[in-house]
Amino acid sequence: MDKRAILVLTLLISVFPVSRVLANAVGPAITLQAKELVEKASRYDGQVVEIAGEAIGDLMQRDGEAWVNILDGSYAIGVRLEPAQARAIRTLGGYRVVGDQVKVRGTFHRACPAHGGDLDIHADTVEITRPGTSVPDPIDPRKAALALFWVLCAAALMLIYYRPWRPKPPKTVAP
Amino acid sequence: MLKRPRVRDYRVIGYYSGKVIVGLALCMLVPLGTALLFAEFNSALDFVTGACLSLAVGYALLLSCEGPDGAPGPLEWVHGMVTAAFSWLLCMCLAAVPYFASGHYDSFLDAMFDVMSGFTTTGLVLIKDLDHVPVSLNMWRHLLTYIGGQGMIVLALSFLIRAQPGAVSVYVGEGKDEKLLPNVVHTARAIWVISLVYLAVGTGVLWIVGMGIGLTPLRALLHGLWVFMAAWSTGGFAPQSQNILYYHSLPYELATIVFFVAGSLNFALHYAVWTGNRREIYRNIETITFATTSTALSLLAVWGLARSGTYAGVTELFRKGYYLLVSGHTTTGFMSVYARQIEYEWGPIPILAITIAMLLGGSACSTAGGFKAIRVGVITKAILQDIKRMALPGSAVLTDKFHHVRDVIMEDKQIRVAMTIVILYIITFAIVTAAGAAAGYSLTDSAFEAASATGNVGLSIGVTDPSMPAFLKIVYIVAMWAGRLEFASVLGLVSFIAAVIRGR
Repeated sequence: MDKRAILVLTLLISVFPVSRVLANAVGPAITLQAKELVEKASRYDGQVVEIAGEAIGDLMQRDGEAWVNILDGSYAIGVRLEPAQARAIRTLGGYRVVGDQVKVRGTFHRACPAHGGDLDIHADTVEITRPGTSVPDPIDPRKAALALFWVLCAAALMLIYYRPWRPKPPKTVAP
Repeated sequence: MLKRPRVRDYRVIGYYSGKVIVGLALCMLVPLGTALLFAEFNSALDFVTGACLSLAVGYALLLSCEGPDGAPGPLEWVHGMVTAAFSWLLCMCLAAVPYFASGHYDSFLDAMFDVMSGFTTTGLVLIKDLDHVPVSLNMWRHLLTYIGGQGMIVLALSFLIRAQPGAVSVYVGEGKDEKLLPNVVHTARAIWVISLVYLAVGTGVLWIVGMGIGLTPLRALLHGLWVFMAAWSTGGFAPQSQNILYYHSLPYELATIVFFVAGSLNFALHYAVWTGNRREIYRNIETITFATTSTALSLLAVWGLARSGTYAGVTELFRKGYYLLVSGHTTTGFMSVYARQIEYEWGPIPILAITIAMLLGGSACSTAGGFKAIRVGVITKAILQDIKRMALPGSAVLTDKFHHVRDVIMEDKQIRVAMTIVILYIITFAIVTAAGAAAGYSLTDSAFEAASATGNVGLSIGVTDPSMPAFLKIVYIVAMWAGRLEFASVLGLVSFIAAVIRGR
């Protein structure tokens, strides 16, 4: 092999890890389902990934970092954020509330060494793609009618059971 | 020849089952109040329906079965056993009404599955979109598991059933066999007092820890209450779909370990410690057995995880391997990993260690399931005694004893009872495993999930899912029910039904 070929090969080998790092830092991330990340965690361990989903539950700020869980319909995944990034999230999903739709890009860990082996994503960027909303929950008249029916049934039976002329049972003692 | 039950037998069973159902209806007032407090009016209507339907069924049973002086007759042993098993089935159907009405279940069977899972403190779930359920529904889920841990019958005995000769039979029928006090009603009340004091302390601790990890004060209080109920009852339910992983917090995990280990201890041990006998913790056969098996199995699981390279650091091995092993051993079922991670990443050794731990279970007369430490301890001692006997002359008399609140001389009868229950657990485990395999799941997955259901644990490897076959859901419901009641009352109900059909 001539010297030029050896030089090119050496350059390629030395540049390869750098290119991996650069790809992770600035290259296009892989947009994935949380299910894919959970079930094939080893494959994506340490890679920059992108997930999109609803911010749910609580925004937990502590020790100079913040946690939020993102639900994409299959699984919810914990995302570690900088406090400044966390401030972008305004609405968290719960009963009668659809949380902010969030697109998170960051490094995925199958077993994060900094967080006790949790499967998590350390966010580089957080983008709110759709703000959260509240969901109206008007009283369902069918539920009200059913409840009224059973209230009347229970009241009638209790009235019969507790009728005032009813004899009192004698008291006995357990062994 | 089986003797056909008399009308009075049906009436006694119906009367006391009615009392238990009325107790269930009164319990629904807690989530109903919660729904009104949080303005969840549709959910409130679901609980009004559930509570009033339960009251209607309860009072219909009381009216149709009562005698001229209240109870239709003395409560005999068979009545207690059948009442315990039957009322648990009735409670499952009625408590499922608010679940199903919430719209978070595909079918009424799924709702019943979750109720039985809660009542038996198992923790397997089929609920959909858990992250968006009303506060009141979460309150009901966790209250169910808290009541189930102490026992529906214990609750009814404490507050609704008058002191009755034979009341002890319904208490035993629910899988509790310790009498902390001479009177069974006083024992039931003592169990509730112990549990309520722990509830107040545990909720307070988790509230503070919750605020420390960034939850708002109200959310920290609600989560603290619910997670404590699930931990103390070794239930394993959690308010969010990620279970304990949701919090991403070591302090939260440490607090839950303390509470679920405490919940897995015998109420007789708690009572002994409460009354000043602290040495009982170190001398009791159950704590010694639990410490031995949990240490050995933890080492096995952690070694397996380290060997396969699943987790490298000590913290990871503790928070994942040790946490799940102890969660399984105490039959709690809290998970700090995803179910599918266990299947895909953990390898066979940790899965085997957790499966064995789930089968062994916690202490007798606790909120835990499984074989129970006292039986494991007694059987181990009996085996050692037999080995010793081989080395002695045939005429030698060998006696052995164990310490459980007091020194107890081992007798063949105790060993036989312990062996019978353990064998019944193993048979049930084998049948449930076969059912899982027949449904198309791998043998490892089927065995793991079967151990979880039979031992009332709640750890899942991913089999339990709304899409699993209906017959497997029914098999798991029966396994959870039989495992929680420790077979006696279930067999009592089966023989009662056989007597109805074939008796003369």
